Parts: sequence; C-alpha cells; structure tokens
Amino acid sequence: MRLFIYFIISAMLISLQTTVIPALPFLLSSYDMLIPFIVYFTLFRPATECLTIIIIAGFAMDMLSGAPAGIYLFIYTWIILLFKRAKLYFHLRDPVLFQIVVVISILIENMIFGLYISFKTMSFELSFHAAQIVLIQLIWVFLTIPFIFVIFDYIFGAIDKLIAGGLRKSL
Amino acid sequence: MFSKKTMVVAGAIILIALNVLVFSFTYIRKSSVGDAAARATLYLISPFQTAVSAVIDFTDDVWEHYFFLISVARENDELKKKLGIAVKKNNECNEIALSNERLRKYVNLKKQSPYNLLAAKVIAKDPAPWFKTMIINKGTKDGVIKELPVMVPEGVVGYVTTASSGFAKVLLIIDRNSSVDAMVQRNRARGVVQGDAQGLCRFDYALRKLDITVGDTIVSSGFDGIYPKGLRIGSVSKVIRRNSGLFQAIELTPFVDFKKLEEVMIILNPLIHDFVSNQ
Repeated sequence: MRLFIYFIISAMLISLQTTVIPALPFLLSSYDMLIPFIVYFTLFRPATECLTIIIIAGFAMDMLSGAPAGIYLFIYTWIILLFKRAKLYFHLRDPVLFQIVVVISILIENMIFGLYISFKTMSFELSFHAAQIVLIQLIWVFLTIPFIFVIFDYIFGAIDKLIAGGLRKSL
Repeated sequence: MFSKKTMVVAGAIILIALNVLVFSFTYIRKSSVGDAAARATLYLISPFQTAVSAVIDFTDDVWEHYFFLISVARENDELKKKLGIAVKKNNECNEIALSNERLRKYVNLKKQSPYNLLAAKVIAKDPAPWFKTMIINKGTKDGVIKELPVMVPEGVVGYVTTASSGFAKVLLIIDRNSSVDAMVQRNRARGVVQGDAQGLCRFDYALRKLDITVGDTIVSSGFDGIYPKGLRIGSVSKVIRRNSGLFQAIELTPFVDFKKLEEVMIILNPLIHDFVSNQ
C-alpha cells in the first residue's frame, strides 16, 4: 500500500516535470522536483523507504531523461548517503534543515551534470547559460520549498494515519 | 324640482358661459395683466413642480440603479457565463484551426515525401534542462525501432534512442550528445552538426578554406547511417574564421522550433546508403 502510494507520488512528480514544466517559459523552468521528495525521505523517513524510493525515482528518471543511464540513481544515492544522518549532527528546525539540504542536493545534481557535460565535450568553462539555469533553480527552491515541506508533511502524515487506521481496523 | 327641459337649458347656458370665460382668459393672458398672472402662477407652482419632479427623478433613479439593477446583475451574470462559454469555444476553434494547419503540413509532407512516415505526438520532454530529449506516443508496436530519424516539415528533429511498445525516446539534434553528418547545400562542404548548450547547433569540422557564409542552408549528408540525405537541418547564423587552426567555427540556427514541437514524423524507411553492399 505504502509503496503503491509512493510510486503514484513519484509518477505524478515526474509527469509534472516532463510535461508541464518544459512547456513553461524559461524563467519558470524549475529544479528537479524529485529532489525535495528524496530529501524528505532521507531526513524524515526510515532507511528502507528511502532505498525503495530512490530505486523507483532514480530508475524512472534515468529511463526518461537524455542523461547517461544511471546518473539520477547515482545522484539520489549520494543524497541519501550524505544526508541520512544530517538530523543527528545539525540541530535545526525541520523546515530549515529540509531547505538547506534541498539547496545542497540541487547544487550537487547540477555539479554532477556539469562535470559529465564537461568531460563529454572536453570543455571546462562555466557558461553563462549554465549559471543562469542554476540561479533560476535556486530562486525557485527558495520560493517553493517551504510550501513543499508543508505539503509533504501533510501528505505523509495522512498516509501514516491512513495505514495505521487500516491496521487497527484489521486487528 | 326642475323639469328635464329646464335642466338641459341650464346645462347649455353653463357650457356657453364656460366657453366665454375660457376665451376671455385666453385674451387676458395676452395682455400685461394676464402675463403677470401667468408669471405669478409659474413662480408659485414651479418650485412644487421641481420638487415633485426631483422626487420622481430620485425614485426613478433608485429604481433604475438599485431595484432594477438586481435583474441587470442577474442578466450580467448570465451574459458573463455565456461570454465565458463563447471565449472557451472560440479558443477551441482557434486550437482546432492551428492544429488543422499543422496537420495539413504533415499530410502534404507525407504525400510528397519518398519516405514512409509515421506521425507521432510529443507527450513529454526531458526532465533536466541540461539534456534535450523528448518522449513520443509511438513505439515498437507501430513499427518504431531504435535509430530511426524523426523530422517535421521544417527539418530534422532527431532520432529514436529507445523504443518501448507504445512510446519512444527521441534525442534532439540540439542535445550535446547528438551528431549529424551534414553538408552545406550550396557548395556541398562537409561537416558535423552538433548540439549546443543553448538549444542551438554548431557545424563542426568544416575546413577553414571552404566558403561558408551566413544564411547558407545545412542539410544532412546521409553518411551517418541514421539520417537520409538532403534533410534540412538549419541555416548558418555565424561564421568565425580564426587565423590559425584547420577548421572554422560555425553556429547554426535549426529550422525547427524545438520549444513548440507538438507533433513529429518518424521516417520508418530512411533509405540509408548501404555502405557494406557498395564496398
């Protein structure tokens, strides 16, 4: 049940990112919508759920994107490895920690893409266009992440209640 | 008391007397006395008339602008609804007209083209802004296989990199990973069209001695084993000839507007030059 819901949420986020956002003007081009999802799982959900979700989301993104196969899975895995224990070391309020980790994760993702493209094209210069993309993404992160945190908190709280209620009934 | 006859006579006399009185009054009005009387009457009565008229106007105003407006507001709501429906319908008609225009182009292309073309709809684009791919709604069950070229009437779009049963992923020519063996249509100068960072293309490996100018059309050469010969790719927008080096740097503006792609055509029989059998 839980897995099915996560799959549906991942599919919805991927669909939003591949159909709605590319149709918007350049200034509205957003960041990888799955990053906040992965970060939320990394920080606030059990490790087993994290692993399941990176496999689903990473695999789907790799299949749909023109990026080299496995790069999204690689990025999401690194996000989990780097930040899984962040809550233990950084005593920040959940929304603040969430926002910081999302920003760092998006920078990591762009850095990995940039490195891949640099190696592929054998040019190591930071183009204005690339800097523009990253800047727009960061602006959108700062504008949207607090709302996304509230939405995720509500959705996952509701899922937990729903599943707990179902279990209680079955017992 | 009075007989009927007497009553009739008296009535007639009163009527005649009244007539005389009215005629006399008309005559008096023309005189200065009559004029003064009329002015006095106007002076005395007009304020009342004005007041009554103002009350009537006020009542009329209140009725027109308040009570009557309730029905006007209702009517307005109805009209707004109708306008909304009309705007929606108009928009739908515009969409149909535009779609019709686009599809007409595709049908013409299909009729004129020597290739077996399959139309497909673009359903999604790459999730990352760094890469340029798209997903189309035709797959292996429609005869789409890997490495089939994709085009629109304006020119080359890209080629199929992955095909599932109902969908396929297309790598666009503006992606950095894409390369198309191409040539200048005017003088057949060869080079390779490669994707650029900002949704444009470069025409690489064109020798410095070759005469290539801004506005030249670049077409596919057919030697890359994917794209058939002669498909339009783009026009030269910038040429940089450095003092040193073997090649010139050429920027290319693709003929296809990749941001507005909605439908594409897949070439199912690309008629690729068969290098093996020719050797």
